[in-house]
Amino acid sequence: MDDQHADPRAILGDLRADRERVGWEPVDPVEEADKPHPPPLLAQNSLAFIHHHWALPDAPPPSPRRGIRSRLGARLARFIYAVLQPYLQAERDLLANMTRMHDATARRVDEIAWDIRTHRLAQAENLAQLAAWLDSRPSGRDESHRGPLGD
Amino acid sequence: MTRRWTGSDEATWYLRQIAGALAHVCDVHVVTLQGSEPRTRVDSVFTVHELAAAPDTRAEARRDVLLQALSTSWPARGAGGAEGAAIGHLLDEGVRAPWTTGIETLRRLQPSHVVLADYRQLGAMDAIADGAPQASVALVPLVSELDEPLHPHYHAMFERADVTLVATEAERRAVAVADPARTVVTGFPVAANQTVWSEPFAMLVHEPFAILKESGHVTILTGAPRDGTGRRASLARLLRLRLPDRPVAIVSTDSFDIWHRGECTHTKQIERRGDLDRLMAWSTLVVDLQPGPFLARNCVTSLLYGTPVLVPSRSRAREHVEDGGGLWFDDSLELLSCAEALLADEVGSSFGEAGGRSMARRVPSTEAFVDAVLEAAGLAGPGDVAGATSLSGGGQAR
Repeated sequence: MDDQHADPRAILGDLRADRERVGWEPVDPVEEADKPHPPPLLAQNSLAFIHHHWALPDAPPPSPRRGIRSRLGARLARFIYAVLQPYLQAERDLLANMTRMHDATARRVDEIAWDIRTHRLAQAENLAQLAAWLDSRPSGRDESHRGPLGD
Repeated sequence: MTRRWTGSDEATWYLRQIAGALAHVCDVHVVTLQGSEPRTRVDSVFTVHELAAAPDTRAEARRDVLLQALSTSWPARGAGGAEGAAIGHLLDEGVRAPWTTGIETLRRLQPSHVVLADYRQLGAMDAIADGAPQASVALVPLVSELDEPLHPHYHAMFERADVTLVATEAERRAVAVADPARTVVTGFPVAANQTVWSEPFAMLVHEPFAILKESGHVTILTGAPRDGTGRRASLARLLRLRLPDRPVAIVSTDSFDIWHRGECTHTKQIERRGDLDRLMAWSTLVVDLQPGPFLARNCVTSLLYGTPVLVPSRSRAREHVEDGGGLWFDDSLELLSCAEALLADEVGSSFGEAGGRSMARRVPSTEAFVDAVLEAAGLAGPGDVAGATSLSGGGQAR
């Protein structure tokens, strides 16, 4: 019989090593280890768009055409913008403040996310120490035949 | 003569080094129980005679399970008397008789020297007594940490061998209980491939593995599956959680993962020896949770690269770090504490340098290893070449 089997001693060694387990482990701070970590909100494309486009036009764009009709249209447009000027200015001020608010909110959210992540890592780090301390405490069992890993 | 000639484990590798040393002055014939059909083939400089008489794996497993169980009680109970005979019969059942198929091969080859591998192969010693009684016998017991203490049923192997060749001091201490006539520690020739310094781990140049190049990382060899529930996987997780700001590379049997600040980069397991060597060479610390039970070769390689190691205290690897180069741990709390100590800048580098110097002294060169083996087998020196006899049939000098 051709044999490509593993050494039974090695198999027994694996079984012994895995027979005992660490009594308690802290929860891993990573909920889904293989899920990509989302980018910061400050790096979002939509926030960049807001930054570049919050200032809406407050005057009619220049018309490339010439002629009486064109001049009359431009004069009418200037009249309309002049009538709406207070509203347009108020709207611009509102958009400016909203942009600042979005910016501050994104920054604050990113800071909070970072703090949460850092805190979870620190907590897991501390709890790992606790798990090791608990695992190392004498259990009252017969320890005379402990394996290589203390199992 | 060996139960198994092919394999990737440390014992098979060491046996091949022994055979290679002997091949410098002799024709070497390998007689092995493995194979699907009896045949003779050439393997490099060796002629391999496969007897296709491998014992039932269950019989071998039963023997090893019985030995594990007996190892906890025999020093007190002894091994003599009717009980000892009954146990001996159980240990030999199904694993001793297959070697009778090798008697004819030995009679045909008429070796002057026989190297017998594995202290449990009593059947091979019986075959030598029948098929090549004139030959001097060198026993390579291949005693790993899983075999200690040696059961008295196998002490006869050491008594009947002219010389016993062991790889490490730990193995020498393990076989001392059998009172061999003569024991020689050959060491084992491990070379650190220096080309690893020209390039870090194969994938390091690409994202996301570049993190391993930017800051000192810890490598953990678990010897267990990635999602295992056993102790080694748990210890790897605890250590990884304890080092959130340092990249931790975890080498599992089925995957390779790099952790940093809670994020994991997961990929398939490391398959090439050169990649593993690179990873250990560029590490700040190597934690080996399952050192090889026979040689702990990964630890030796790591130390030769100047990387300190952290190993279980009850392992063969401890012998390699006791002269400097690392620490050992008894329980999980010591594991974390020792890892933190070795990761302190000055401590880690000094341990690494000490380990490198120590291992460079202790690991024999290939030439020194060959000389040690030939001298132990009584085949050493140019003056002895004329008197050296071949292991092939006819006893012709090479």
